Amino acid sequence: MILPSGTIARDFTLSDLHLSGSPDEITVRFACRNLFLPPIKKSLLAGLPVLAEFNLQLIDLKNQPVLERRFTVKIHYDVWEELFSLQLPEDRTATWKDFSRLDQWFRAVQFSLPLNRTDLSEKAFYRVRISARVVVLTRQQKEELKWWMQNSETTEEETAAQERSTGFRLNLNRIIQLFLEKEKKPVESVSQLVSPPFKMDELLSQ
Amino acid sequence: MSRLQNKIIAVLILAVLLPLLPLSLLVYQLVNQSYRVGVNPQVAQALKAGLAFSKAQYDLERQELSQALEALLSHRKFHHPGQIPAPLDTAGLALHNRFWIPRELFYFDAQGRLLWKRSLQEPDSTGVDPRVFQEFRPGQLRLVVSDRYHNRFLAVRRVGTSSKPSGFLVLSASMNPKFLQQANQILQVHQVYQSLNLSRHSIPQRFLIAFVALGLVFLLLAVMAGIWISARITAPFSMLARGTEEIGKGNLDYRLPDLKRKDEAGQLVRHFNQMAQALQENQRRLIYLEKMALWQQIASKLAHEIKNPLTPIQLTLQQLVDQYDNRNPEYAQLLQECSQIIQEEIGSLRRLVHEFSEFGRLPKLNLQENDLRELLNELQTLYSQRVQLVVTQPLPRFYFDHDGIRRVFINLIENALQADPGGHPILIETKILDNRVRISVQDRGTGIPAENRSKIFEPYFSTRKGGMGLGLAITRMIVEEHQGHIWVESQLNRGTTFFIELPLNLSSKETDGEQNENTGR
Repeated sequence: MILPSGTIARDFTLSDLHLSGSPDEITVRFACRNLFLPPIKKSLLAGLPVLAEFNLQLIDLKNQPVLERRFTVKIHYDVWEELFSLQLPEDRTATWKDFSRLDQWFRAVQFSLPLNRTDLSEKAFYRVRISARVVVLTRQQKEELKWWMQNSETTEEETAAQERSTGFRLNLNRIIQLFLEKEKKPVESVSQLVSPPFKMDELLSQ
Repeated sequence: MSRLQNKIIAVLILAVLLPLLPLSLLVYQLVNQSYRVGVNPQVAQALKAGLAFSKAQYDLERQELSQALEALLSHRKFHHPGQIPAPLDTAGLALHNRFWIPRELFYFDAQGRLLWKRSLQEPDSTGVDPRVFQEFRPGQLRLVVSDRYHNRFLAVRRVGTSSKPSGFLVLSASMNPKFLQQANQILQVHQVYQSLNLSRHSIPQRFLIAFVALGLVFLLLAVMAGIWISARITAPFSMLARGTEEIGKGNLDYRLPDLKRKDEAGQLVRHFNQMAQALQENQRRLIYLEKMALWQQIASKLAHEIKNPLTPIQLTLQQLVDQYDNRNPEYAQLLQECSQIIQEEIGSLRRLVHEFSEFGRLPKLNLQENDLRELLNELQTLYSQRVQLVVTQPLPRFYFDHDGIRRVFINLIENALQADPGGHPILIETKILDNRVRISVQDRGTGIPAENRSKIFEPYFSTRKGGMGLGLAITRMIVEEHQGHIWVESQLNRGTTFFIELPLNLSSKETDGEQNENTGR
C-alpha cells in the first residue's frame, strides 16, 4: 500500500516574532498558532507522537543563510499515565497533566541562535527566518501502518500454513508498492516566518 | 504509419481504455467502501471504549497496589520519628496475585536512606531511586510510580505526617506481562486506527493511482503490441499496394521482397511475385510474337511480289535464247552463258520466295497429347549415329504440336551438324523441372560469338553464306507459341548448347485464343 501523504495542519502558522540580542546570541521568540487542530489532537491523544522541527536561520538580504540552527521537539502523550511530555533539545523534558499547558508552551516558543561575530558585519542588514515543520505521521508510524496493511489478510491458519509453504505468495499490495513506493516523507505541515531587516548593532542596542 | 495500422492501434487502445475507466471508478468505490468498513465512527467509538476500559482497569490495579501497601501499613504504626521500624510481616500483603507479582518491600528514612529491605515473591535487584521521594507534593501521602517499559511499579507511602515525615515505605511489584501486552495491543490498534483515519482520503486515492498506473502500463503494452501486430498485418498490404501501383505503371520488373513467412501474407507476396513474373513473361512473348507476325506478313507479301515476275522473266529469257538464229557464234555463246546465270539467279529467288512463303504461312499449332520420348527416339533413328539421347527420367505425355516440335529439333540438329564438321555426336538430354520439361541440344562445334548470341533468333540473321536466317526464328516462334522458352549457351571452339523448356500443363484450349490474338492466324 502506498503510504499517505499530504498536509493536515494547513492553518498552522508562526507569528508574534520577537528578537533580542546579546553579544553571543540572538534570542528568538515566536508563537505557533493552530498547531493542535482536531486531527492532530486526536492523533496525539491516541498516543501517537508528533514532531515539531524548527530551523532558525540568520539570512542576508539575498536570502543566503549566514547562521543556522535546527531544533526538534517531540510531543508525546502517555495514555496510561495521562501525561503530556515535551522532549526538548539538549535532553530536556517538560511534562504536564494539562493539555492547555502544552498549548501554552507553543504560544511562547523561545530558542537562541549563537553568533559568530567574525562572520557578521555591523553595517549589513540581516533577517531571521524561521521554518517550522510539524510531522504528524512519522516514518516509524508509516512503517507500522505499512506492516499492518501488508499483513492485514493474514489469519492464524494462514500464518501456520506459511510455515509449511514454499515461500511464494502473490501479494498485490506489495506489487503495487513496487511501482509507486517512492514516498518516504511523513505526513507533515510546514510554515515559515521571516523578520524585517535589521542591523546587528540595532538589535544589540535593544 | 498507414491508416490501417492506425485503426488497429486505435481499436486496441479503446479496448483497454473503455473498461479501464469504469473499472477505475469501481475500484475507487470498492476501496473506499472497504476502507470505511474498518475506519468509521462506530469502530472509533469501540476502540475508544476498549482503551478507556483498559485504562480504567490499569488505574484500578495501580490503586490496588497502593491500597495493598496501605493495608500492610495499618498493621503497624510508624509515628515516632526517631523509631526505626522493624521489618514488616508481609503475610498480610493483599495483592491480586493473578495481576501483580510483588518483588520487594523497602523502608527509607525521611532523607531517603534505605533502612531495611524485604524480598517478596520474585525479588529483583533493581532498587529504588531516592529521587522518587521528591515527586511528592505537599499534603500528598501516596504515590505510584510506573515504569511500564521495564514493567516495574512502585507504590510509595509517606510514613508520619506530611509536615514531618518519618520515612517512606515502598512496595515494588510487576504487572502480569499478559495484561500489559494486551493493554499495549489495544493502544497500538487505537493508534493504527488514528493513522488510518488521518489517511482516509489519501490511501484510497493512492490505490486508485496505482490501479490507473497499472492500467496505463497495460495500455502502453497494448499500444506496443498494437504497433507490432499492425505492422506485421499491414506491411504486406502496403507492399502489395505499392507493387500493384508499379505493375500498373508498366514496371513489370518490380518484385516484392520475400517476407520469409509461411502464413497467408507470405503466400500472398510470393503469388504476387509469380504473377508479376508471368505477366512480364507474357508481355515479352506477346511483343515477340507480334513482331514475328509482322515479319511473317512482310515475308508473305514480299514472296508474293517477287514470285509473280519470276515466271515472265524466265519465259522471256527462254524466248530470247530460242529465237536467236546463231548468226554470231560468239554472241550465241554469250547469250547461253548469261541465260544460265539468270536462270540460276531466278532459281535462287524462287528458293527465297519459297522460304518467305513458308515463313509467312507457318501452320497453326495443333496441340495434341504426345509422347516426347517417342519423338526423340524417332529423331535418333533418323540421324542414326550422329544423335545421342540421354533420358534419365520418364517423360510424361503432354500437349504439344508434334510437327512443330519435330521441326524445331530438326532445325537445331541440322545447325549442330553444320557447326561441327568433326562428326562428334549431338547430345540431346531431358530433365523434368516442376511443371516443365527442359531439353538440351549440345554440339561440339565452333561455337557462337558472344555478339551474335542475342541476334541468332532474329529473322534474316545468318552467318552462313546463302542462309536465309529464318530457321532459328521459326524455331523460337514455335517454342514461344507453346509458352515455352529457348536460349543458348556457347563457347568458341568448344561447342554450343541450345536449351528448350516446354510446359507440361498446356492444354489445347489454352493457346487457341492466344494464337489468334498474336499471329492473326
